[in-house]
Amino acid sequence: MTEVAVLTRVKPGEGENLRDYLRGPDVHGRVPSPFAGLAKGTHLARFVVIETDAPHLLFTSRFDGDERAYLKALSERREAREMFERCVKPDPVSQASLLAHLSDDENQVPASYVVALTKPPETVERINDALGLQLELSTFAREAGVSTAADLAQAFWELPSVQRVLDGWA
Amino acid sequence: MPSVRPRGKGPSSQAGDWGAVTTVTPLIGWRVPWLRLVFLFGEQTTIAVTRLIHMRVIYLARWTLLPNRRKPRYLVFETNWTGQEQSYIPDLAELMRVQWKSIFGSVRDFPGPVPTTRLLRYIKTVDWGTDHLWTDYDRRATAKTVTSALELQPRFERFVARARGMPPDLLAEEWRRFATQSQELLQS
Repeated sequence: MTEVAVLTRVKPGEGENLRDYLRGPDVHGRVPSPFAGLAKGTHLARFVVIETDAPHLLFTSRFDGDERAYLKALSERREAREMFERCVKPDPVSQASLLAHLSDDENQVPASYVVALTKPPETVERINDALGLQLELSTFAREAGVSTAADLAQAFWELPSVQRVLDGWA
Repeated sequence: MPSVRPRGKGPSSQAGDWGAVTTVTPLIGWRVPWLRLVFLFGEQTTIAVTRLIHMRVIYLARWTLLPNRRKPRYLVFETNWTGQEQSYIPDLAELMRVQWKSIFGSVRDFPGPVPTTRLLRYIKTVDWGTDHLWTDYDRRATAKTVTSALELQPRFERFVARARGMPPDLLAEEWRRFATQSQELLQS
């Protein structure tokens, strides 16, 4: 699990425009999010315009895998480049310049202290698999309540979750 | 140092059941060394956050010094949780009074963790929310379901290992025992 945080100054007068742009994309897919096109490995990521001495774009993400590969994939997203076109850097915005900007230690702001519920080796894939198992077993537990022993045993061994466990041992 | 006043959260401060807070607060200069010590202590042990983790409401809390660690002037606090925002911050403050004081005692105008109504008012004045929030977790994911599902998985694998070769009667009996013992993890 990797963490990245990047702070970028917003162009003068562009703070509200950038905020509006960022608020446009949503998880329901009405407008594409830059994360929608990435491999499914983002635990949680955010873009937020904050103001200190001037408006800045704060990007933070907690994700699986290699930082360089993740930032490269993000830099290739048109939506990400459009966000940074409202920022002072990189100038001009291209895939290469955005990747260099996001990777630059001068722009990264590592956290001083992090408390998180999940830690390595938990990945998004493992977490989603576990959630799927939980749903399947919850349903089975309800339905098995009225089954005969023979029916319950047969249904149990046919559960996809059980098959996956057995396949994993094979 | 100019005042920092957010203009309100955006609609993307919620992603599914996930909520987000991003506070930006000016630091009290002479308290920075103390804050560094608090963070250093936090990195060495989870003893101060054990109760927080057991709440299974908060998913992530992250503190960052801006513009950099060398000469910090602001403290950024990011957090994500699932559940009601109105109860999340007060619950957190009630449960973690010492921790709140240890960290936020180093920022200007912090009113203290209690009374929580005053704290909530303060948070609203320094919270920028999130303009865009994203997660690749399944839509059913909450802090509670994620932790319980991860706990259930190895328990279930051990059960399958034990169940191999069991006759149907015994398997049914053992399954019902397993389901009862895992009820809390299954109901999440």
